[in-house]
Amino acid sequence: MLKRILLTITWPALILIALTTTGMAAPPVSVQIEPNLVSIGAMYNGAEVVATGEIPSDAQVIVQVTGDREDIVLSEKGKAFGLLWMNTGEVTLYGAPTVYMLYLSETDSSKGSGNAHWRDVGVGFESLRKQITLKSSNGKADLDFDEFLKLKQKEGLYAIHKDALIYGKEEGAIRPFSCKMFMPPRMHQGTYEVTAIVIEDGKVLKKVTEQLKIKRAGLTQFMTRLALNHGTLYGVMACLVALMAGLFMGLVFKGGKGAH
Amino acid sequence: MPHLYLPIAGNSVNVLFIFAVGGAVGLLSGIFGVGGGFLMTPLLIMLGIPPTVAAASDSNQIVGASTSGTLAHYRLGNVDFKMGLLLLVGGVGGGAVGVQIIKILRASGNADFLINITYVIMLGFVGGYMFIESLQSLRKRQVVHTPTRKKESGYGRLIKKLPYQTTFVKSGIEVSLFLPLILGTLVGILSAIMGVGGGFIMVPVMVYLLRMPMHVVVGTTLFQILFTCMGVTIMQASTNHTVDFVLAVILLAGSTLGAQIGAKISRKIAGDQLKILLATLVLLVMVKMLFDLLLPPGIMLSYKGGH
Repeated sequence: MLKRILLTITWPALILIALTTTGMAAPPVSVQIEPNLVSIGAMYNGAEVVATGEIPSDAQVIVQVTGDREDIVLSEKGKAFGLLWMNTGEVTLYGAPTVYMLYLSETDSSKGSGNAHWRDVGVGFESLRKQITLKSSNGKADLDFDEFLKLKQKEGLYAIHKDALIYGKEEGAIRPFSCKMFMPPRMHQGTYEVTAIVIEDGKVLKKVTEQLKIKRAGLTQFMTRLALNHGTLYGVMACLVALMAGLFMGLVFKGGKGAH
Repeated sequence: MPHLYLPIAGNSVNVLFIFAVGGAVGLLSGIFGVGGGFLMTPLLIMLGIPPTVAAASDSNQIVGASTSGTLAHYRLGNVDFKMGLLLLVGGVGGGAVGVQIIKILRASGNADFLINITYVIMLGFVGGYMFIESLQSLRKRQVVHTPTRKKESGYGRLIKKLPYQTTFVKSGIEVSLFLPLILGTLVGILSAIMGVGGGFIMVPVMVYLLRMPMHVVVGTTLFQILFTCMGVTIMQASTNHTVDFVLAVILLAGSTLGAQIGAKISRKIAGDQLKILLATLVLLVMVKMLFDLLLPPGIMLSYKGGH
């Protein structure tokens, strides 16, 4: 009888505990991006994309934007004839993302980008250095990676944006966040990953990824296809339009001398 | 600020800024009566347009800029078609060679270097020549000189020995058919590499090496440049896919307008002082490019093919 009573009490209690712990193990992590499709039209000058989401109240989040990984072959400058700077070697980077951008909150921004904290969670340029294999004709891999970073940062395709992520007012155990991201015009057509990396006690708790598509549209799409697939036709068309424009201007100004 | 996306350059530009660049170069072109292409391409490179795209797109805009000029000179009877066609044949052949040179150099990553070094040499030569010529012209005004009979040079004797001597009625000269072909080829190669019409090279070539009268030189140069640049544009578009039509149209709008305004200004303020100013500008561009080659670059890596 006593055994029966104990079982009757214990089972619901165990189920209740299990339900509670399951709820705690799966924190309410979510991320949405708006818009998730960016069109490169004739007037395109980059685009703003907003990432919003929710994380547990005692966690932090970093938003990471990455492009496809590819092998990049770059020319390396050196001194030729002991006088002129020109391309003298070659550097190949295997598995380098076309785009690598991080968006940090004010708290995370103070931690820098190269310290142990970021390495532990696998983000930042120091972590990226370990993910990319580099083959250099001069054997100075570390130096070449730094130069590669400079090149990508100058293009605006690799960046760490500090104080770019804002936390909202906590509601119970949930902490909302939002992040305004600018996609530079140099980001070409392709699919990019926007990942919310949730960190708790210095460790990655969860990663949630959404896809961002950038696509050529309208006139830009037409011109690129024509230039790449029908180069001769494109060249003839470009000449004809230039001829017509020149004739038109000549008529407007009643035939000037023009440029040589 | 209105922006337009350049599909081939893969970046966006401020329309007004690029229009102003085209207008400023066109204005100088109109005032001084020399080409604008040799200034346009380095300016575009400085603005962050990949060098190969800048050079090819500049060729495209020169097609439009030289069209109105050729038309005007044709009406005035200043175009020697026979000479122009021979220079053109050489120019198209040279253009094809130049495009192939760029293609090979792009593969080896040296295209940008070649464009830069060619510019430094040509800008230095043209700028220096103009500067010295203008100074001499200013001095001649003050010094009364007695005319002396010139002895025929070795070059003069050499060109008379070349085969297939023919008369060019409009220019009033008799030279070998091979001479304009060879000179046209050389200018065509430079034109393809530098993305210029070749006017600033062709004019001294016609005046000093072909010994044509100045009024025919201007009309014939424009005629030859128009077709050479059409050839270069089509070849660059089909071989290297580097012609950015959107960029060319913005530049064209600015340069044709600037050239016409400049031509009107030149009638009022033309003089040797202005020539010296232009020579100084050309030399400054040359010095800037030379420094780029001599000083350590900010970034030691670059994309292959200039992108």
